[in-house]
Amino acid sequence: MPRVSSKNRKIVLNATWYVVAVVLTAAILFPAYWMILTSFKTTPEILVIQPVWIPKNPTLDNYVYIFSTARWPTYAVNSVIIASSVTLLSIAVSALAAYGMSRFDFPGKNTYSVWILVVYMMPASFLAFPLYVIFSWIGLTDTYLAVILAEMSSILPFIMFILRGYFDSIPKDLDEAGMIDGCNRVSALFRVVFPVALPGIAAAAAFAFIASWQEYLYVLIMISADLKRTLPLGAAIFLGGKFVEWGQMMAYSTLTALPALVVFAFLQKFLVRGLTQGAVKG
Amino acid sequence: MRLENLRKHKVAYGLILPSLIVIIGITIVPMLFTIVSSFTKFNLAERGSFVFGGIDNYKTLAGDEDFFVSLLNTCILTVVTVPASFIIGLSLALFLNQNIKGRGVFRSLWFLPYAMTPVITALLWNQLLDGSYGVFNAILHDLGLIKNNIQFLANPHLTLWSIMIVIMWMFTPFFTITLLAGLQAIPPTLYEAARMDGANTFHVFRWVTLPGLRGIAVTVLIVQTIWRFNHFDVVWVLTKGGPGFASQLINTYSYLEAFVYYKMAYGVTISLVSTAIMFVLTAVYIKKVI
Repeated sequence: MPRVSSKNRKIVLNATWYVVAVVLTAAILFPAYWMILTSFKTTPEILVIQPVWIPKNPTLDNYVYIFSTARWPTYAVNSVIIASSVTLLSIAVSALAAYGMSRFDFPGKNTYSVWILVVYMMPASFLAFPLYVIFSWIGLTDTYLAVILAEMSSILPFIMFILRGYFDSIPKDLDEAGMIDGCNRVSALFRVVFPVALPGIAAAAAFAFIASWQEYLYVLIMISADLKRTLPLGAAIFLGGKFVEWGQMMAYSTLTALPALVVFAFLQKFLVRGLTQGAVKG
Repeated sequence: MRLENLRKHKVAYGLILPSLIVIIGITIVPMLFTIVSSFTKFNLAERGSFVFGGIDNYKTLAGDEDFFVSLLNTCILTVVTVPASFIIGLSLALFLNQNIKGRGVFRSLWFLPYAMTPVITALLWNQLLDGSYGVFNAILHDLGLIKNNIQFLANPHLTLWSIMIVIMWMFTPFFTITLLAGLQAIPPTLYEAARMDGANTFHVFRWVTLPGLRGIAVTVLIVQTIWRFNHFDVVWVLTKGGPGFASQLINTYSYLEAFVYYKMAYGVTISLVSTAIMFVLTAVYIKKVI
C-alpha cells in the first residue's frame, strides 16, 4: 500500500525538478549575468577584491563610450553587411545545389558530396591563408568581398550539408504532384518544394547569419583598416593595451551578444529541427 | 560519351553549377596554393620570396618542438572536452526530457552560452578568470577556499585547463539541445514495449535510449571534434597561445607563424601537415564507429 499518494509524489518530484533546474540555470548563466552587471559599473567598483553584487553607482558611461569613441555602430554595420551577404549567397547557392543533389542522380554526385564534407573539415588556415595571399596580389584585401568569400569557404559547405539532408526529408511525391499539375522539374522546385522547405531554409539562413556574425579569424586576416572591422574584431582591441577597461569591454560584449541571442531565441525550434533533419539522414 | 552525360543530366548539373564555381574558387584554388607554397620560402615581409625552397619547411617542422606542443595541446583539448561535454550535455538533455511544464524556458536559457559569440565569451572569461580582479578569485577568497589569487591564465600549468573550462561552457549547450531533440525523436512506443517486457530504468537506457540516439550522437560528436581541432578564436583572444606555448593550438600556431612572424610558407606547412593528421585520425575513428 503506497503511503504517499501518487499525486503528492508527483508534486514533490516536480518541485525537486524545478529546484534543480533553477540551480543549474544559475550556475550556467552566472558568467552572462556577471557580464551584464559589470557593464553598468564604474571602474572603482570593478577593480575590487570583494565582488560587488549590486552596484551602488550604476552608470551608463560605458555604453556611451562604446557608442561614440569605440565605434560600436560602425562595426555593427559592417557585421550586418557581411553577415547578410554571406547568408544570401550561401542560401541561394546551397538551395539549388541541395535540391539538385537530393532529387537527381548524376555522375560525380557522390564525389561531390564527399568533397563538400572534406572541405568543411579543413581548418581556416588551410583555405583562408592562401586566399589572403591571392587577394593581396589582386588588391582585394580590406574589402567586404574578401571577407565574404573567405567566410563562405567554411559556411557554404555547412549550409549545403544541412540543406541537402533537409531536402532529403521532403518526400519526392511532392515534386511528382507538382509535375503532374504541369510544372517541369525546375518550376516544381520553386512553386511546390520551396514553400514547403521554408522552415528548413529559414533555419539554415539563421545558422549562416550567426556563423558569419561570430566570425573572427577570417576578418582578422583580411582586414586591417579600423573602419572596416566587424564586431568580433573590434572587440579584441580591448585586450590590446596594458590596462583593461572591463566596464567598457562588458558593455561592448553585452551589446554584441544581443543580436545573436535574439535570433537564437526566436528560431530555436527551427534551428534544432533543421540540424537534426540533416543529421538523422546523414 | 561525356558530352552525352552532360546533356542528359543538364538540369542537375545546372543546379549544382553555382555551388561548384564557388567551391572550386574558394577551396581547390587555395588548396593548390597551400601545397605549392609549402615548398617555397614565401615570407610576407620579403619581396620576391616566392621561390622554390625544397622541403626545407617540412624539415623544420619535423624538428619543431613548438609544433609538437601545439599538436599535443590541441589533442588534449579535443580528447577531454568533447567526451566531457557529451556526457554533461546528455545528462542535461535527459533532465530536460521530463514532461514538466516550463521546461522550454530552461531549454532556451541553457542555450545561451552557445549563442554568445566566441570572441565575446573570451573577453567575458578574461574578466572572470583574471588573476588580480577576476570575480572567480574574489568568490573563492570570500568562501575562504584560497589565500592567494589563482592565476588561471597566467600560470602555465593551469592555462590549458582554464581554457578547456571556457570551451566546455561554450559548447555543452550544443550537445544538450541536439541530444534533447534526438531524445524526443525516439517513439514513446519503444519505451512502453520495453517496460512491458519488464525492463528497468537502466535497461531502458541501455537498449532503447542509447541506440535511439546513435545517429544524432555520432553526427554531433564528429562535428564537435572537427570544431575543436580547428579551434582558434577563444585561445587567441584570451592568451594568444601563451604563456610561452602553454595553450598554443595548431591553428593559433600556424596563424602566429604566417601573420605575426610573416613566415607564410612555414605557416601553411604547419596547417597542411596538421590537416593531414586530422584526416587520418578521423578516417580511423569513423572506421571504428561505423
